[in-house]
Amino acid sequence: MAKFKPIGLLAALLAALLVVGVWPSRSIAAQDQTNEQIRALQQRLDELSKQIDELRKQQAAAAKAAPAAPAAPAVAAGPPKKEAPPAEPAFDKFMKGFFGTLDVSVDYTTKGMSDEQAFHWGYAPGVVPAPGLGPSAYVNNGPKVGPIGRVGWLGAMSTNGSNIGYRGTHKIGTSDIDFIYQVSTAFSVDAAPGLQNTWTKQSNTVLGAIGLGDTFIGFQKKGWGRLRFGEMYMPYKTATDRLNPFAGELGNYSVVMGNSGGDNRIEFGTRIDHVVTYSSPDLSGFSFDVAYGFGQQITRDNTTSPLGSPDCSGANVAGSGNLLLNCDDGAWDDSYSVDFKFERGGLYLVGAYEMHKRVNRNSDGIGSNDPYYGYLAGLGSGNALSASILDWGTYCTLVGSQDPGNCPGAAPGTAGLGVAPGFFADGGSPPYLNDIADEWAAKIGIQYRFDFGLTVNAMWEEMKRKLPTILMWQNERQRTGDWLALSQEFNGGADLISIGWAHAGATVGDPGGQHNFDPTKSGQDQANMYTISWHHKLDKQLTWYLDAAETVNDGNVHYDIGAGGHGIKTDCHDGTHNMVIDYSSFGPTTWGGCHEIGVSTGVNFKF
Amino acid sequence: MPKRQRIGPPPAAMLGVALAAMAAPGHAADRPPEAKPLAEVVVSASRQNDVVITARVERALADDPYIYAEHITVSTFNGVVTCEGIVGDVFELFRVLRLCRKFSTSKRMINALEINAVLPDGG
Repeated sequence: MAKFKPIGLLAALLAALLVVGVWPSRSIAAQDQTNEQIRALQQRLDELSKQIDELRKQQAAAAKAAPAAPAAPAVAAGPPKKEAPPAEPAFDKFMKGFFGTLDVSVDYTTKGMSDEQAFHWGYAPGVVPAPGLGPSAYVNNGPKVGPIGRVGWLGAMSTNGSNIGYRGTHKIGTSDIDFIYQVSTAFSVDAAPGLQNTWTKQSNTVLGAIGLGDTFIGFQKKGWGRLRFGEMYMPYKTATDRLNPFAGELGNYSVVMGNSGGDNRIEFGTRIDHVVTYSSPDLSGFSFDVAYGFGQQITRDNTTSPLGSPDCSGANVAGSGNLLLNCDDGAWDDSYSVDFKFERGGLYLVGAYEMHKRVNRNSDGIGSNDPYYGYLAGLGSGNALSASILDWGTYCTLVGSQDPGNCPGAAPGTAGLGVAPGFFADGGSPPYLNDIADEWAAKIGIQYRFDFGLTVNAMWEEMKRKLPTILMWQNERQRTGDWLALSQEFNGGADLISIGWAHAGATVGDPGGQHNFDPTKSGQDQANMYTISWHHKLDKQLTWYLDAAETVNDGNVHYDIGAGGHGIKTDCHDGTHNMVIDYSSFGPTTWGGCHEIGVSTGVNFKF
Repeated sequence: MPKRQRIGPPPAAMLGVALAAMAAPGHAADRPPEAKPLAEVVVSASRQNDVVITARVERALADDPYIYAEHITVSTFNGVVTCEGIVGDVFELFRVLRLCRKFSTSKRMINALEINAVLPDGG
C-alpha cells in the first residue's frame, strides 16, 4: 500500500493549491476569448442585418422597376432602379392634394310631352267624394290648355358633375391619429358661375363656391376608422354609388332610386349640411358607416332654413317653385343614415337605411288638381273635415281679402275673383295643415364582378312616408324601386358597354300637382327607365362616352332622365314662365306621363 | 517482506494536480459564460413580402393604361393589400380592385376607395 510521507503530502497539497490558484486565471482568459468571439459574432450579425436591410431596399426598388407580374410576389429580379426624387417635394406633395373632374357633354333630348292633353276632372253625379274611388267615380269635364313652350327635341350643352377638391391628412403630434380634411366645389364648365337658379327652382347655393361639394374635417386612426364633420353625402348614397355605371349621365339610377317623387331632387341621395359620419375600418370584409345630420331647425314645422344653411334642408330656397316663402316643399329636421357592406373577391353586398324626420310637404296642397282636394277646399273653412286637413289660417292671412267667404274677418278685396269656394282665378288655394311626417328609405344591393370583365348590379329599394290615414290618398312618397345594370369590358378595359333598367313602383297616392292629373290612375302609376352607354378610355384620365336613355312614365308619373348628376335635366316641366313667388301659381307646369328620350356624348377628364 | 512503496513528492504533486484539475476545470467547463443579451435580429419573410407586394401594386397601378393612381395609397399587412384614396368612376374602381386582389397573397384585399362624387341637383 502506498504511503504518503509528510513531504509528499505537502507537495500534493501545494500542487493542488497551485492548480486551483492558477486555474481561475486560465478560466478568465478563456472567457475573455469567448467574449471576443461573441463580439465578433455580434459584429458579424450586425453586418448581416445591414446587408438584409440593403437587400430589402434593393428588392423593393427592383419590384418597382420591374414590369407588373400577376403572380404572387417573390424575390424580384433585376437591378434596383432609383426613381428620381421630385425637384420640389413639398410643392409636389401640395399639388397631389388636388383632385377633380371635368365633364361636358352635348345632348339631344326630348321631354316627350308635346302631344300631352289635360282635362278638368270631377266627381260623377251622385258620387260621394272620398279618397281611393275607382275610375267610374270621375267624369271628364273638358280639356285644359296643353303644354307650353318647346317640349320636343332640343339640343343642349351640359356640365355633368364637374368638381374640384383638395384633401389631405395631418399627423397629430407624435400620436398615430391623423387629422383629415377636404374642401371641394362643383362648377360649370360651360356657363358662368352664380346662384343655382333655373326656371324650375331657386337656390341660394353658388356654383363654384368652396363648399358646394363634400367638405369636412375629421380624424382617423388605422384600425379605429374615420370620424368626419361637415357637409357630405350620406352613407345611404355612397354605399351604392358603385352600382351605378351611368353616374352623371342621362339615365343614371338616381332618376328613380332614392328619388321619392320624381322630378329632379333626389331625396335619398343628396348632400346634407351639418353631418357627422363615422366609417368603420374593414372587419374581415365587413364595414359600416353611420351618419347623423343636425336638423338645426328653430321652427317646429321646419319652415325655415336650418341654422347655418343657405337653403331649406332637401335643397332649394323657401318659396322655390312659386310656393309660399316657407320650407314646406320637402324640408326636414334631423336625419340619419347607415349602411352595412360586405366585400370579398368579386362579390359586394350592401344594405342601407336613411331617415328624414318630420318632412314638411304642406305646399303639396297648393294648386292641386285632385278632385278630392277640390272637394275639401270647396267645403270651406267652416267645415270640420276641411279645416282638419287644409291650412285655412295661412291661406286667409295671405289672401283672405280675396275670399271673404272662407275668411270672413278679412275685408273684401277687388282682385282674384273666386271661381269656386277655396279657389281663385289665379289658382290660389290652401296648403295642407299638417302634411308633416317622417320619411325613410331602405335598400339592399348586390354586385358581382366576373373575371372576364362582366359586372352585374342589382338593387331593391323601399321608401315610406308615415302619414296618418286621412292624408294617405295624396302620398306619392311611398313605393318600391328596382335597379338592374350590366357592364362588360372590351379591348382590355379600353371599352365598356353598359345597360341599365330602373323601375319605379306605384305610389300609394298622388298630390295631383300635375297639370294633366288623371284621378282614375292615381296610385297605380309606375315608371321604367332604360339606359345604354359606351365608354371609351383614351388614357388614364380621359374618357369619351356615348349615352342614351329613355324614361317611360305612366299617366301621372313624372320621372326625368337627368336627375342625380347630369347638368341639364330633361324633365316633365313645360315652358310656362311666370316666375312669381306669392300665392299665385304660374310657374313651370308639371306633366305626368311624359316620355323623355335623350342621347348624350361627351368627355370626362379626371385629375 | 515486501518493501513498502513510497510515493515521492513528484507523484504526489502530480496526483494533487490531477485531483485539483478534475475538480476545478470540470466545474469551470460546465458553467457557461454569463449570457450577454444580443441585439435582436429578426428576419421576417412576411414583412419583407409586404414591402415587395406594396411596391409591386404601386408599380402595377402606375403602369396600368387606364388607372389614374395619383390619389391612391397602397399598403400591405401580412399579405393583405389595402387600397385607399379616390378614384374617378366605377370602372376605375373595379380595375383597381382587380389589380390589388391579384397581388394580395391573402384571400382578400381591403377596399377603402371612394368614388369622386358628382353633384345631384334640385328642381
